[in-house]
Amino acid sequence: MDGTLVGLCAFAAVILLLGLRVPIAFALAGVATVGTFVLFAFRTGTFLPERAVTPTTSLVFSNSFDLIHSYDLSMIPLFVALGHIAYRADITTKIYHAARVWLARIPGGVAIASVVGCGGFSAITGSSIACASTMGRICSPEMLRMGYDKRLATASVAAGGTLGSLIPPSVLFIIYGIFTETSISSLFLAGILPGLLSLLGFILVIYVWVLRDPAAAPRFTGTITTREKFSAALEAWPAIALFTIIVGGIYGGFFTATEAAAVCVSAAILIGFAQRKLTLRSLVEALRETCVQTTAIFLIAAGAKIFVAFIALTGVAGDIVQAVTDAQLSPVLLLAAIAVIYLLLGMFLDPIGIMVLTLPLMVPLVETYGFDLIWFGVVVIKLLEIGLITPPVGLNVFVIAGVVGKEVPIDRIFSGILRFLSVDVIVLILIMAFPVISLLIPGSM
Amino acid sequence: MLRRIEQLLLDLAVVAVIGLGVLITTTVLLRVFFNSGVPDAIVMVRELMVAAIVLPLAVTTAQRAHIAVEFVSNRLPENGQKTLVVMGSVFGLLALAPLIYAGWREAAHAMTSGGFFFGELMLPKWPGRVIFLLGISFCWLRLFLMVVADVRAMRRGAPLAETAYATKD
Repeated sequence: MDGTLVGLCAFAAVILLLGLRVPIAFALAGVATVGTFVLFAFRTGTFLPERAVTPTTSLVFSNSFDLIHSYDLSMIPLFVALGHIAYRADITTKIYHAARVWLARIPGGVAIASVVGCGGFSAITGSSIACASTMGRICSPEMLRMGYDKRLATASVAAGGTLGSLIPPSVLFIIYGIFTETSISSLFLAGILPGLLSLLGFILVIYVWVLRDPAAAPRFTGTITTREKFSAALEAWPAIALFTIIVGGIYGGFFTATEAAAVCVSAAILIGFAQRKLTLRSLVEALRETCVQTTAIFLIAAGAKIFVAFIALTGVAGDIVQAVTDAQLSPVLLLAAIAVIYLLLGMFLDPIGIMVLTLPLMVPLVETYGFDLIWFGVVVIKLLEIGLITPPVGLNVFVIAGVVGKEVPIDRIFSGILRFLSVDVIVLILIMAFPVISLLIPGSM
Repeated sequence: MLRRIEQLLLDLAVVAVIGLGVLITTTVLLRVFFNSGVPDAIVMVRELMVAAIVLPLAVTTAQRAHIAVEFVSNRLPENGQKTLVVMGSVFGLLALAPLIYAGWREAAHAMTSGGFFFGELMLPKWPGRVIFLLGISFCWLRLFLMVVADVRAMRRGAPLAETAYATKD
């Protein structure tokens, strides 16, 4: 049986099942299992199902079990736990409060503080949706209450939330690292400058927005003393300390990303208990949420791992690489095509789903063209970030819409998002055109 | 009863996550301050990972926390949406069945052969494999019960329960 045909049919089946709302993990694992069984059963030319059972179940078990039975990947539950614990210990919200005090006098100060808060939140947690959900609950209602333009109050947080995937630690970078077998520490470091660039871009959008339309953000009329400013900055020290442990520890070669995650979780628990913000009950709740969230992520990753192994058996990736090479696409055209594919998929699918579905084909392709996989990882994550705020399925926009309720219709949020999207596209082009933006920090290790 | 077992499995996973954090942090501290380490820490972390990830599968399923693409289904009428939810669960039962079979084979083999990880402590291989089988099996059972409950709800014309814990086991 033609492996390429089986592989292409499998891709079509997965897309169909995803459209039919079959959970991503089940769709990938189910199709891969059936596909592997068919390949092994037809190996000799005639259909011999009894010959396919053992190799199929071995492939299914080894790929899923080995993925979970991993030391390096223990950083995923640990980083997810860090986010939940830091939120309950009031560590993440302090960054926003500090930014809010310091930026109060700047036009659109609260919106800028929200985006800075998102950046700070992202520096401790690894999920864009968690970032948008948490910051959205704090910032958007406050801005709406202060009389901010509804589009600005919601779109700024939805866009700011996307920073969660680019600024380390990032669950998406970890999953990309697993499937491309690239250094997760290097990916984390590579995301810092592009993340900061995106953050600066978002701040610029808000600043220009309010400058052109002062009514969009009422001026702050109260007074804030220098003492209050320094007090607010001091209160944000735990967040700064945790980020320093993560980035400083990895960059300085003191420990690996996995060890950084464990040390930060321990530090966050100690800080939370010392400041009396964390109780045993809230810690257990945070860890329960961590387990449920991590399990959902890992189930998809396990399904994807089985699917990737099956795709390798079919040889379809090699055939596609050959076809693209024969077409003699220039590297620029190839990158543009990849960007368009990711942007289109981002309009309908969630980031993890897109990544596990596309990487088995994309990675051999970009390796053939000699692209750096660390840099390509940053490009992919940026594209996935953009997908989080593009209509019709911008997950972050839906998260914010859920927070603000009927007060701001979803189309109003999307109309506000357009300005942030334009900056995102500029940052994406810069990252693509100048790989040094991504590779400078990991290259200097 | 099943709900209690699932909560117990979730709490065991919580203990496993705490174990991960403690074990890795201790290893780092011992290395930095005493140039030493915990024997077979990597093997222990890997075994704890299985518990942390697989044991909450049933609760994750009960909470309908599996990630799915809802773009198309959200545009369907209510009955269409319910049908797709049940179909997704049935497909999940089919997808998990080979994993249970393979997990059973591996767990049985690890127990009968007395396999162990090379290292100072020579830790046995079977706990991780048995935990894997246990987690997937309870997930399958929960998914099966949810399919039954969802089909019953559809027949009555009632909405599907948001989580399995909204109905009796």
